[in-house]
Amino acid sequence: MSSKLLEVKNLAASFKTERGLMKAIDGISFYAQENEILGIVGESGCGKSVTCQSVLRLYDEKHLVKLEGEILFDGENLLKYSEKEMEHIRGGAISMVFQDALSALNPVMKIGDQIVEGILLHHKELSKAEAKERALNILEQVGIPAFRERFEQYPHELSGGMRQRIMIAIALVCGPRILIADEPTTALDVTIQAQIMNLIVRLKEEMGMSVILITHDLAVVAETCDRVVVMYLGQIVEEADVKELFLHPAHPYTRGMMMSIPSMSEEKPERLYVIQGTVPLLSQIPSGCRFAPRCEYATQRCREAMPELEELENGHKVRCFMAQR
Amino acid sequence: MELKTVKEQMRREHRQLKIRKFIRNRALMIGAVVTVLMILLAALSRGIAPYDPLEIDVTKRLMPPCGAYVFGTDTFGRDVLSRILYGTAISMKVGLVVSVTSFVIGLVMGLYSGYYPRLGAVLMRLCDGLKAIPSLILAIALVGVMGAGMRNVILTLSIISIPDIARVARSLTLQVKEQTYIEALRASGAGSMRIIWLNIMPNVISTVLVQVSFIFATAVISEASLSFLGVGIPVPEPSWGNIINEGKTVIFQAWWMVVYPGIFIAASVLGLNLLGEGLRDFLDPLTN
Amino acid sequence: MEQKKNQVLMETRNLKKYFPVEKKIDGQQAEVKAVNDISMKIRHNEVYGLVGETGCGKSTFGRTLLRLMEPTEGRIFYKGEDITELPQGEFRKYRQKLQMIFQDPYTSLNPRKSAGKILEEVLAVQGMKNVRERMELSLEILGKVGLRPEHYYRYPHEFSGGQRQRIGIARALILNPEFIVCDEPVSALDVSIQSQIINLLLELKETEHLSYLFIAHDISVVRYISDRIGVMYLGYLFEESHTAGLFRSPLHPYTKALLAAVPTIDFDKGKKKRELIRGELPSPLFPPSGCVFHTRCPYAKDICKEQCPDMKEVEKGHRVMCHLYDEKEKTK
Repeated sequence: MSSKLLEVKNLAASFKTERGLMKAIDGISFYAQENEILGIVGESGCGKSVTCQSVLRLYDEKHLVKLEGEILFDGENLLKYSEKEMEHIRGGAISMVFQDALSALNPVMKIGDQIVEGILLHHKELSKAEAKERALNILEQVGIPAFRERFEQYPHELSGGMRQRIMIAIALVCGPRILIADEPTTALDVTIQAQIMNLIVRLKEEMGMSVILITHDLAVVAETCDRVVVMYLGQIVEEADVKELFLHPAHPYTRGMMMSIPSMSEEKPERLYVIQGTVPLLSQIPSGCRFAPRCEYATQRCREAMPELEELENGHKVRCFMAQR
Repeated sequence: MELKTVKEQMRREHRQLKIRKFIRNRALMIGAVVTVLMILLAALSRGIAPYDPLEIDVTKRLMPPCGAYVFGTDTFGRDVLSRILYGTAISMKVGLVVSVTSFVIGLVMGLYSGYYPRLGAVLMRLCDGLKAIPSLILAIALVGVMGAGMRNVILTLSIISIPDIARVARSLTLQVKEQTYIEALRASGAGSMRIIWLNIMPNVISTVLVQVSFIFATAVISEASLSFLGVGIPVPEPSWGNIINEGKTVIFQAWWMVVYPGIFIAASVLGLNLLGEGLRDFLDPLTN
Repeated sequence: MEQKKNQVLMETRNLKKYFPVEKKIDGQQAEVKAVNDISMKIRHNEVYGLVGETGCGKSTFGRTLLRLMEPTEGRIFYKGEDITELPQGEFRKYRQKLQMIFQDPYTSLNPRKSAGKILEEVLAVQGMKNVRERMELSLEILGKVGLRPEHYYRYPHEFSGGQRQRIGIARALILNPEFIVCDEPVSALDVSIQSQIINLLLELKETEHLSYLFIAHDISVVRYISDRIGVMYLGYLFEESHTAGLFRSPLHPYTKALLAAVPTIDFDKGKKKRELIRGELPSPLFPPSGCVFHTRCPYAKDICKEQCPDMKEVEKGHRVMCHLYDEKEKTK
């Protein structure tokens, strides 16, 4: 199982803002395989959402200035597709789940109708009744109790967890090969988060699809993902299998993040580990290694030259001079 | 770094930011220039008007624009330019007084009705009642009852404009009141006067000022309309509205009696509206 | 100082806060019971963590404790003194001692005031007239929360989320309080900023001798910072214990489920089997009869449907509200 279903090569996106041109992501390369969950982690402004919006070309056309690189889906470059062809891909072969389920659902349309609409958009050959049958099936599959009644309800009548299940149902209804989940549980409570994450893992197994999970929560990544990509300020700084990443984190940023979250099992340290400073603005990207100003191991070389993302062993890649030595 | 120098530097930085913002804001620039020009013309009208606007000279009736009478003369041989300049003074005065009164009263009403919901419910129903009648018809009725004249025109237009300001101020107050920093103030023991006037008001006032500039524009138009209909500024006192009114009977012989005051009305209203639009962007602290 | 250690600073007895709703049920005015019969003691220099899911009433409890909302029933004590019914005017002097830090660093600062003015306003409210003194104090407090003097003149939108939260902390701190309600103070912040703020709060707790009611939904953060923890569900305090005891042996079925749901970074024990809680939070307008948790509880008995359990001290300092422990009540 090593076929690269999705491969992103050297992706770079620049946006026009009030402060001038901003490179939101710069030279991103990663891949996703069938039947695996790839986690993309990073703090706000690291470009993890832009990366995934670029895959589906959902960015804001008005502000996007340049998009370079390749996005290969099954060997074909999605960036070369026409808008019409992309519409077929979106919600068909690749679909997406967002953080805010309430604003992603149409408030004046019944749940069932929204799902049926999604089906008919991609399967024009189906009749309304067949589409409804399929919609009911998927609602049952995502574990919605009393799904026949829910079919007739409006989004505001459901709880946050239920709405996120509906979003997942809509995303899965056309049997996508890739599901992109952008912070799917950030707005939910832990008990509901656990339910939703279990659901995503179960559905991945059942449907054999590839899931790209974007999150800032390392613990969620540790529990659900197979492979992880860590992003900082528009670049990938580390990539590895989940176990390898958590047991042998190589980049100081990855390590710092792991140490700065309080553990659930260990003894409490007197003080939490702290990564000094804050993430700089995209308009003030430091020269050299982008993490150097906050890094406690930074040397003169780090401040002057940008390290490349290089493989250490077995697919564990890191962008750091110290780790590469 | 010495704190004093930091303060200076910060002041300078903010000032430069303001200036840059002002220059980049074309609507505000044009609006401000036109408005200042109008107010200057109004203030200096007595000095720069070439003739007495009331002086009748029947021998010079309906003269087209020429060197001596730049905007021509009217049916009584009065200089149209001088009458328009005097009219500018009246329009600006009406506009200014109406906007200031409705601003002050509307702001107080809006703040308190937003902060105290029960009071708000009563006051807003009152405003709804006022706004249910088309404002020009209401104005005609009010002036009809009180009699024409500048004072009554101002009074009438203020009454009509207050609800607009009050509503904007109230809805903003309702929003700001729910912000966490207001709760934080209450947590430190602040009283309602401090909360309303030192914390809610500064957040409300910029948008209200924008509204005021629109009220100014509306007041100018309304005064002209009332005077045109003969219930505003009584003749022979010149006003943009009644100049056009007098011109309408002779529009085919003397287009200048209608066109020139029309241009003044259009220009001043456009200028004021641009000013409002520009102010909205300028006063928003987040659009730097 | 030492003898103060165990002194009770804040106390509530049977505190209730009901919100009337514009709805009638069986002809009666409907109410949401946001805080239901909570008795709690918070000691000097202690961090009391309050956890629970959205809508469990933890924020309302914190606000009622500071009388930002008036309680429906019950009493609030500050150092043994009943402050429940003091008129707001008289209560003002207690506000110095009882402060709050808010969740959202973006809406909790007035966008039209510089950081310095925000801090000074608090002093002005409490009657400090001298402008110079106000400024000096503000500068001092900025330093204490890790900001620089030049930040005094900056406006909120010029700060990052973490810096804004530091200003929020400075505002709570400037009056020399003894007790601060921290309402989700780090949940809007990035991971790397979170630990900075948590450390700051812990440092200040020691240097300024503060007590916190630390409200949060992130259980690992609460575990780290708290000395004692209370678990809330639908307005009730289900369980209360010293932090170590709660994590070693959670008693209430809800606490067990809540702790099991917390994701962990732990590869040694293999993937653990977790017992997930079923279903979702019932509507607070129509809470279940008896124990409000019985609809989702795997151990529910008949009595749970009929009778609301009492709070019992099962072990020393470990209280729980559950029928499963009816016999185990510590004999006093």
